Amino acid sequence: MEKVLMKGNEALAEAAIRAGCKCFFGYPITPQTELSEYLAKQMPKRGGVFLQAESEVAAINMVLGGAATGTRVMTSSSSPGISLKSEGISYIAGSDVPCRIVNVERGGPGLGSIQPSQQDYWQATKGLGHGDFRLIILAPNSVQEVVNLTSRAFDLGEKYRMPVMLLSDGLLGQMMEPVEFPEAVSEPADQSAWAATGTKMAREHHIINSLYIEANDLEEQVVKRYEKYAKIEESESDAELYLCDDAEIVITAFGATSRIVKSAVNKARAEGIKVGMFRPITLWPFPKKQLLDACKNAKNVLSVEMNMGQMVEDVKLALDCKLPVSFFGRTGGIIPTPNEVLAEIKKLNGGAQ
Amino acid sequence: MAVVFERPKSLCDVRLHYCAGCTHGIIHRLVAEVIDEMGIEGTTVGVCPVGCSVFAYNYFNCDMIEAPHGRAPAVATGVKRARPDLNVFTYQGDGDLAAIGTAETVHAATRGENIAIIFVNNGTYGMTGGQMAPTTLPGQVTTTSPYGRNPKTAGYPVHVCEMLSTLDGTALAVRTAVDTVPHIREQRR
Ligand SMILES: Cc1ncc(C[n+]2csc(CCOP(=O)(O)OP(=O)(O)O)c2C)c(N)n1
Repeated sequence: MEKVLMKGNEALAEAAIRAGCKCFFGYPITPQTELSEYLAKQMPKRGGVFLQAESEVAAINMVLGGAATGTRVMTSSSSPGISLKSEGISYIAGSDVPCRIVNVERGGPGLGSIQPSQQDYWQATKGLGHGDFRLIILAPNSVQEVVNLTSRAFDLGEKYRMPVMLLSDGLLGQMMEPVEFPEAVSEPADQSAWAATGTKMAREHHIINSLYIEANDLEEQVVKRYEKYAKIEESESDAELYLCDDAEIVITAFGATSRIVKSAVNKARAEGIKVGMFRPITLWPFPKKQLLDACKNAKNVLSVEMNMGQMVEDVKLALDCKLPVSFFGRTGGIIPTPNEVLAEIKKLNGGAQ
Repeated sequence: MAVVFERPKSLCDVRLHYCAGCTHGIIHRLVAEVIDEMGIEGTTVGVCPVGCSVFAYNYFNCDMIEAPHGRAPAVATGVKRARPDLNVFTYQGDGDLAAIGTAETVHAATRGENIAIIFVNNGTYGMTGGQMAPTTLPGQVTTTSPYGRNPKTAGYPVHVCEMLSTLDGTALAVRTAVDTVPHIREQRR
């Protein structure tokens, strides 16, 4: 298939339709609006449902209802809207229902800014609602990867019966790049063993529920879910290692920031500095083993993020005090430049400027 | 011997947990009788709320989804839009429908969602122990209006049926009581 030039948000929307997404429930917010607008145009023509909800709270609950029928459903928003969705996300996780949630991050806290940011790393990986639960978090760094991870998100959600988040940002959402859509997309898995689709008077009723009034029953459910999470950590973590083999300095970066870091790494390599980049593609599960592998010759690790230092905590946890870890970031919608990152690399490489 | 009284098929054969004098049991029965009469149990999905009737998923024999507090109309919207072939109903208390879930209720109605909402107004927040609800009457004593609801500080009760019937999308909004046998008979129609 030939390549087409598309905005990240629109490519994501197109990829979702091709991946069999049948219902989209959303609420307008910058910088993800093109995604909704694309689906508003396309869904009715291609046998799907587009519905603009009265709020993000309603949208995520529509997702709960649609997903409970075993249908491929999706919602998207940006940071403040994701905060509103967190109640529903917790219920969805607690009801073991698969769905896909997109966050095209913007600056925060509060109304923040509409510029790109990565300030929702903590929210995505640790704080998407009350209770003990996880979401698989996928963090693409190009429009092509946005497309590739879209059908993977649906597959993973159905495989493990859980919500999956695609963590994009204003930069990936708004930039245009050539993309190729895969010919074959995955088929939705059979959900009839648990979905609420009517008993047809042929089976026991299905109950989609997160309430377990007996503490022992609740603990049993949560522990079972954590056994599933352990399997996911074992088999689904994913990362890109760039020039890490001989790297004495390893820079960790995810999403759009990794593109800037890659430029800085290339510049530093041209000056003979042994530096590489480690990029987690799954933020949860965090690819710990891959990070240790990337750092096998490292003396220093630097996390570069568009926030005040969020992923750096997971980097430190994974490295378990084996290496010094420092941080460089810009925030509130300011994108770091390759030269700024290069200066940080040089500081670690003996301080020579 | 002729059987003159039976449990509706759409109700499970389990003990309900409701307090003595509560009308949830009666209303469950009415809903189940209608599902039976229409012969739609196998294609019905019910959405139960947070509130006294949170365990309704154990009582109705059709597929059931438990929704977050107030969000049942949005959950029902999701079910119906994903699977228009299903019959979808919600079952909600007054706190659920007319306070925390007002937006979901009003917007499901104004969109004309093809769902049925069973609204049970008991004038209080029952499950949490009798606090003031949006439907609590002026002067009514509850645990959070211990001197009686004072409209000057707590406002007036919400007239749900009147409010929803102003919306073009609402197909039918009816209100009845279930305090006496004639009223219950009337409600069934
Ligand atoms: C978000 C949220 N807020 C508060 C509660 C606590 N809560 C549980 S039931 C309930 C009141 C329900 O009252 P109503 O809807 O009138 O139904 P009833 O119990 O009277 O049948 C409240 C406030 C909750 N579960 N979730």
